Amino acid sequence: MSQLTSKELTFSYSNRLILDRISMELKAGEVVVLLGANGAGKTTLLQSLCRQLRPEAGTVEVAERDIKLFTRRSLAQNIAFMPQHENRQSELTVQDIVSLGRTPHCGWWMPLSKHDREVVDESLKATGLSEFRQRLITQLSGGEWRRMILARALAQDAPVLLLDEPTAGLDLKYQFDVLDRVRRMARERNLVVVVTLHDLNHAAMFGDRLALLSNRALIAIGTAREVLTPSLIRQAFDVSVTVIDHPVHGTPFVVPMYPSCGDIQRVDTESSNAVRDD
Amino acid sequence: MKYPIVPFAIAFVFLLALAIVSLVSGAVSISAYGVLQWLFGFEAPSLTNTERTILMQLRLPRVITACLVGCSLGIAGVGFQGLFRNPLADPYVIGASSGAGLGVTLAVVLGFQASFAGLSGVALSAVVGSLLAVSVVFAIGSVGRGSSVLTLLLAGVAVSSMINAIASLLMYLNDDSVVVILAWLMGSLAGNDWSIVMATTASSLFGFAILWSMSRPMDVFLLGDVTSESLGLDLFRFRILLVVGSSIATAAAVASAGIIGFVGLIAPHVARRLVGPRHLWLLPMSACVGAAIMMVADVAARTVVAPAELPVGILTAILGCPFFLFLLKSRKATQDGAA
Repeated sequence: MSQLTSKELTFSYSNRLILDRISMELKAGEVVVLLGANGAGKTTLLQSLCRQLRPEAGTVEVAERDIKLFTRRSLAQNIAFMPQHENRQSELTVQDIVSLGRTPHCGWWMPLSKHDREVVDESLKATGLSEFRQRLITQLSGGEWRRMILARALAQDAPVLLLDEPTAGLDLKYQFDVLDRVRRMARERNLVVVVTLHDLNHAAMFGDRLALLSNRALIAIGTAREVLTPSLIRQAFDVSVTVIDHPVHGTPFVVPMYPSCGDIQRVDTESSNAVRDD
Repeated sequence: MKYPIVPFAIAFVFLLALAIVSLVSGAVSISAYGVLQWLFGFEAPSLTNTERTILMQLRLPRVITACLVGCSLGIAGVGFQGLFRNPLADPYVIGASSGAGLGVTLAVVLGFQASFAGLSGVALSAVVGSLLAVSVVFAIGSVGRGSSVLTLLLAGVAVSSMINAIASLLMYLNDDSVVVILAWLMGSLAGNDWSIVMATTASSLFGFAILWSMSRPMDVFLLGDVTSESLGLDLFRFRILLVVGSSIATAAAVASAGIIGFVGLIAPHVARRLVGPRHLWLLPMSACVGAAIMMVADVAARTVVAPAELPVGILTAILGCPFFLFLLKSRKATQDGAA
């Protein structure tokens, strides 16, 4: 059974078509990476999937139920969305923010139940933030802040997790750290995770499936090997690449070819013998 | 969860002390010992009958009204600062004061005499004016999808300007009424009796109940529209409730004291320093701080030029402004230190 389904999802901003009949079926436990050039509609698609934006046509279903039928609160119990930007000015602590992830599950006024507090503790632990719980959010580094937002999304305890560029602005270590945690969560908790990324190689390594948006449409969805081909990448990003195998992990590895660098020096591939030409 | 018991205990004792000072001071000075005895229900042989009447009919309702007006402005301030996610918002930001001003002007100019629940025609017109203005601003500011708090704020500024212009025009055409209208707009606690205390208590408690029940959504709302929706907040319903709760609290203050500046702006800032930004504690603490500011201002209003009296709204602005600037400066210093 697919956990999250979009059928012919179409969205326009004031008569400008952004998404054209996007259909996907995502299963519990899988991480799907959404790829596409700037402005291709990745964030719009994520926001349409959680009813932040109302599509012009088509439907989104969670556990085979149309999301239009959910109240805002019950939708939040089923889909957690981690936005790319958020107000960071408040003087709340990490624990306060992560506790707010329980909002869809508890009353407006009632204090958190024992179960709520346990979920918050688990989410803090899963994101390695247990010792930061009393820290003010204004004192967090970029990586810690992203982890906190992830912890809040986990505390929502929803079967579907939508993450909008969770690695933007992070250094390499934190990018791996966040993505690794996300993948582990998806496996352990049997979540559907949809994540937008810009780095194609990270996508190849961390995504179970990749979905490529170009020219308003979903032009490919499948394994990294099926999606990360030079022709599809040229179609989506208008750049030339060659795709080799990652020397350690064996996943497809995208090597850009820079037009301004003159003659292209081919890498020595004798050892890996993996340059693929499409 | 940590309960901020100490700040609330201190606030309670401080408010009680202020109330006693406030009961003691005035044109006729009454002994503090006698007031204490009288207040706690003991026989107070040192008090004369006149003093008892002054306490019961004049000072006690006045002290309670000052306290309630401060509470209302304090919580309305938190409400509007939350709604606009802007620490410079105050209870009058979306037209409540200009609406009240126009209501008062119309009532005085037209000689409106009706009264309800102990409120005079002028006070009623002020409340109706402020609620109408807020409704108009809200109706304009939330038209269309994707409307933001910024739209609401701009609508507030625009509508306020127009209402102020109409009120000014009316005053210009009826210059004999200007003194009466101005006295109202400057804010005063004089002449409040027990019926006004009851009406103010009811409406400020109602406003407080609405806002306090939304403490957690208000915390969530701080994080932005997108996050609020993804955490299950129905933004339209939330904003309406927030505006209604804050406006009722504002109306309670306007009805019994006219326009009192700065209290609704400062109280939330001081309260945030004492108990942090979580609305569960911020709302009641801001109410306490607002009450304290109003009582101090009221004592000053009654004693500085005794036996005459100053408009309390002028005093809150004169006392409040330097204090607010001090807060801003020390806040900046803390942030610079932390950076």
